[in-house]
Amino acid sequence: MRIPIAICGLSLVLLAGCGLENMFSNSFHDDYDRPASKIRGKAAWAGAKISQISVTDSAGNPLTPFLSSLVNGVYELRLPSTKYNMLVVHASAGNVMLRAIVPSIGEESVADNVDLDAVNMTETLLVEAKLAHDGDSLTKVTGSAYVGTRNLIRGDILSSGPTNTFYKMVVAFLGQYNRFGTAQLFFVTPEVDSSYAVKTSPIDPSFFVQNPFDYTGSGTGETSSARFDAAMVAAAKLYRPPGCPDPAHVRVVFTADFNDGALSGNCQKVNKFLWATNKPGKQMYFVGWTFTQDSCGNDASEVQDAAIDTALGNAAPNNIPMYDDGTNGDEVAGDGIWTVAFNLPYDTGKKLRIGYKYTWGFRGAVWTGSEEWPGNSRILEVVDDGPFKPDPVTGALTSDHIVYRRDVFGDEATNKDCSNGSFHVPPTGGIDWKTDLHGCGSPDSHESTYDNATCKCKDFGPNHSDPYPAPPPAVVPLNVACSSH
Amino acid sequence: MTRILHRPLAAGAAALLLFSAAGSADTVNFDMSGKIYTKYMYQNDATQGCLSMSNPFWVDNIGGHNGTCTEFELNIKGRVSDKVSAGVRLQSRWGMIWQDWWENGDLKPGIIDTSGESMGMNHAAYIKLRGAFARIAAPIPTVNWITIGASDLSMWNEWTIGKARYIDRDNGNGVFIEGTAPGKLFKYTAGAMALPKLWAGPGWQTGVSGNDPLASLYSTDWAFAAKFDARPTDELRFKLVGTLVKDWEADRNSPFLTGAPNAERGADHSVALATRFRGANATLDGAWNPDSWDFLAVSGLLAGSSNYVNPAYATNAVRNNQGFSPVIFKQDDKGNAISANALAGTLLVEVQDPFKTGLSVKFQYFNIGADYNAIMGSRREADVLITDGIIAGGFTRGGQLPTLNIANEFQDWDEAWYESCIGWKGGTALFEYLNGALKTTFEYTYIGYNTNMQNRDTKNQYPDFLYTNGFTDTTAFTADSDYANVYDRGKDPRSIYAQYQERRTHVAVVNVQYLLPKLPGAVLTMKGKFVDDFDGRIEKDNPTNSAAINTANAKDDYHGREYLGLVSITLQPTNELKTTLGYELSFWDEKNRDGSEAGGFYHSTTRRHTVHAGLTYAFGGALLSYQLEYFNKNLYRDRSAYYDMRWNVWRSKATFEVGW
Repeated sequence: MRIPIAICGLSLVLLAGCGLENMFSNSFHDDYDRPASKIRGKAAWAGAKISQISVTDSAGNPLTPFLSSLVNGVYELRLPSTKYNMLVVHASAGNVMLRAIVPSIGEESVADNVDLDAVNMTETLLVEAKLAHDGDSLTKVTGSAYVGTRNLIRGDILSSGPTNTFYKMVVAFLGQYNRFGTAQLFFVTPEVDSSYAVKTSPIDPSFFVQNPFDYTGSGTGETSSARFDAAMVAAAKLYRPPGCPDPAHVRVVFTADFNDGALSGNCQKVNKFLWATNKPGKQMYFVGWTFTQDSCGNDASEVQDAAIDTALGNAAPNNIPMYDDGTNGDEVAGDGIWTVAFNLPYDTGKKLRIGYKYTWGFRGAVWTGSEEWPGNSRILEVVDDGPFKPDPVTGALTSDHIVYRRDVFGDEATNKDCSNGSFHVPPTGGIDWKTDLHGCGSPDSHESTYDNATCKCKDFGPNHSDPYPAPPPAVVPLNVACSSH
Repeated sequence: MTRILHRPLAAGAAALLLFSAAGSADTVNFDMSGKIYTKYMYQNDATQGCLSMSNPFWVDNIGGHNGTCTEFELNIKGRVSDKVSAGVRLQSRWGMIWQDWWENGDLKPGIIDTSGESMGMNHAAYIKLRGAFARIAAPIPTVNWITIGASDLSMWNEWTIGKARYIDRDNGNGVFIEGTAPGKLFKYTAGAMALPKLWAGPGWQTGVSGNDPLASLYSTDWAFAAKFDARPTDELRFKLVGTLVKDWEADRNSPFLTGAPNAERGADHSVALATRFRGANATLDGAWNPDSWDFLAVSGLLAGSSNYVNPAYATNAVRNNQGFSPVIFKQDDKGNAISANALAGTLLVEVQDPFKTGLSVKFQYFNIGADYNAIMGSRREADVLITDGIIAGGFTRGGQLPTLNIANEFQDWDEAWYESCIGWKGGTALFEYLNGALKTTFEYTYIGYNTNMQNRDTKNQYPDFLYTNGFTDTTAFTADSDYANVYDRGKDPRSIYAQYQERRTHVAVVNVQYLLPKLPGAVLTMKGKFVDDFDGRIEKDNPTNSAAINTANAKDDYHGREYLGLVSITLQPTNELKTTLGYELSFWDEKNRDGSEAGGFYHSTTRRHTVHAGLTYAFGGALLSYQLEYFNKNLYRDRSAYYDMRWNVWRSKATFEVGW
């Protein structure tokens, strides 16, 4: 017996190098699980099945887990591993539709405790109601900013108040699971208008036809959802699902109009190829830097930060691409208006000034042949002038936390510093940080207030009544998690 | 010497160098041989080339019926020392016809022009290294030889890893150890062989990204084998062969491949391998030749196979490739991939003229499981059953092999055809009578089928090779990119599974050879063959079928009868010259051959006349052969469904070989 074993052993040794190593190294290897972003939680209703559970992205588009399971009342959905933001897990069971918000999942990570229960349903209804009222949607909410709202809601559920009251009603309705048939009667996604009028209640009216019941604890059978809706609205008013403005940062957005016939600050057609040349394959780039004193004596930025320089492109042309494909904040693909946005530090007590230009070039190309003009730069003092909007909770007017420059490529009659082509340029021939070329009440080095298209000040919006242009809808303010109501 | 060694074989190379340090090659130890082979082909059609059936999948530009081609082969063997020898085979690429002046190997895809630079290397007759090997008799206990390099893999058997077909005879490479146990208790052979990336796995490949989007790694794929051969007595011999085919892919979910090389993710700069295909085969065969009954010989074989396909790394060709697959994609009731396991066995009893009357007899029992498969078993040029089988004709020979990977390709019209015997269950009785100038044999074979089944899953699991009905006409078989017989839709020889099958076959064959008196070397040969092939397809009133199926297909029974008669005479007027002239008549009557369960089935009959003439002439180391064939075939089909077809084909093949 020893001889065959010895021969086998010898054979194995001699055959090493012929793939046998794989036999050894893989003999106890079970195939790795596919990397996943997992959502896990309880599905505790009677007769729960995994087929009843699904997940959508923030726009409501269904996502397809590559693996789903439900074991001992705990479900798990495995999505392809990537970063997800503001997902919603749905369950349709009997006469109830449950939802739970997943603020975010990272690559190869787990969002746990996404229970399909009264707490998550309460939270989801409040968020849906509030976003509907604000004209927003989950697509404009970032998970990191949202978690503050989540924490507030969950805290409020535990103590008396509007949220606790509403939560108890949700619990009461869940007690009606699978009574009176299986038509899905609650909880429908609510529709709430800007005056907090509930246009679509989470409770289908037909439910009460079959089942007047006391969901308020008043001892009286309710025959409509009116008190449920009122409680929902009362609680929803308390929260800011998109989060609270980031006090230390601001979103800075630039758009460059590259259309033929676009007007300059002098209300004249801009020759966009006066200095730049056009070739197939070129595109728009942004190049910026923290401002240092220029040749015409404009003061340097009070904030000097290498990280900002890096973010803006370090004054090296044709490196920061702008977008005209409907992505990265761009509003309409192919409309000739190129967009780029930055998140910059913001301190009202210390001015951040930047210089910038647009270039029409190939990636990494030099200035010549691509820049709007040689030499001079555009100047921007990062100040959040407006517009002002009522705070979604307090109603107080607050700025939009976005600094928006709407420029026309090659327009030398705007915020060009030393050799400005405006008819209204001061005798120095250039502008400084306070120059208001058109008398719009705001310096040209700030957010745009002069509308090149109509050649008027503060003439924006469909009614020509808005003082500031609206930034592309996809550009949202920088928010952080709210720590209080 | 190191030029012939591949990097993975470094260990072997080191050993080789170590043990051959004292050796040196000189001309005395050189053995060189050369051969020129020229083939001429003719057929009354418009194809050009020197190969009747070329690659039917990746259609190449060497297949065709009109052309003359020449190849040259040079073998060099060196006896480096008493303990070390080596050899190489250099051969020109087949495919350059004599008209291909100037073709230099450049390729213009899809274009053939007069530049001499359009048809690619297939027409440039370049010299290629076709095989290289080295053998050492290492001073290791029990080891006789270690071979590194090219091999035809003939040391195993047809049920496990079979001898490579002729065109692949040196394409296989591996490391082999042969030895003898102390006391000559048994001999052993062990080997590791690189898997051919082209055909030894699901989809006829082992992970080639352009063919299978789920796989891309083939250089880690190997087959391992071991053989133990024991002869405990002079009368008794046993042989045990075990093989393992491993087609590995990189585990695509290895942490190192799926994200940052962050140790916390488990990424450790290593990539695990996942099994794409695993094929395990084993045989135990024995032979008993009793000294006291020297007229008796008993031999038998037990075989087992287990084949697993991982659907995560192998595209299901049954589902996605019209049922063309060399492996079963076996699933359990829940649709999970599982191994396809099966056993097989044969038992052969030979009684050699026991009564000294000239009458001998052989009986063979065979029972091959429905899921048996040897993915690397012999693909052709071998035969595991003694029966003439179904596919063999008169002038066209045939054989049976236990694999779905049979290769009736890269061959000429005069070469043998092979059919799969997977699932065959039955027996053969073969009687032979010798009396003076007369030799005659009679065979009867009954074939039942372990593959008989109702509602077999041929959509996802079992390959049906698309065309499953009718006799295969090897004489007129044509193929294109779908591997099927283009014009006369006979059964694909690999087609052994059908959704509904209730089949049995009778085969009867008579062969007569008679040495004619007075004529020099004259042999009269006659053959008669009858095949009765019945397939009830949907079994009536089978409880596993729905009532609707049972009643809606009352007329789906296939019943084919083949009648074949052949007569030929061979004359050898001189020692060098041998001539043959023969005639074959085949008639097939096939009820419900073509069609479908949904659309109904239609009858067909086939009548084929074949006249065949040939000669061989051997002279002074040169060998000339020539064969001329005419066949006239009529295929009559139900005119309401199909049109009739007729073949009037003249064709010839001549070869001239000279070796030195």
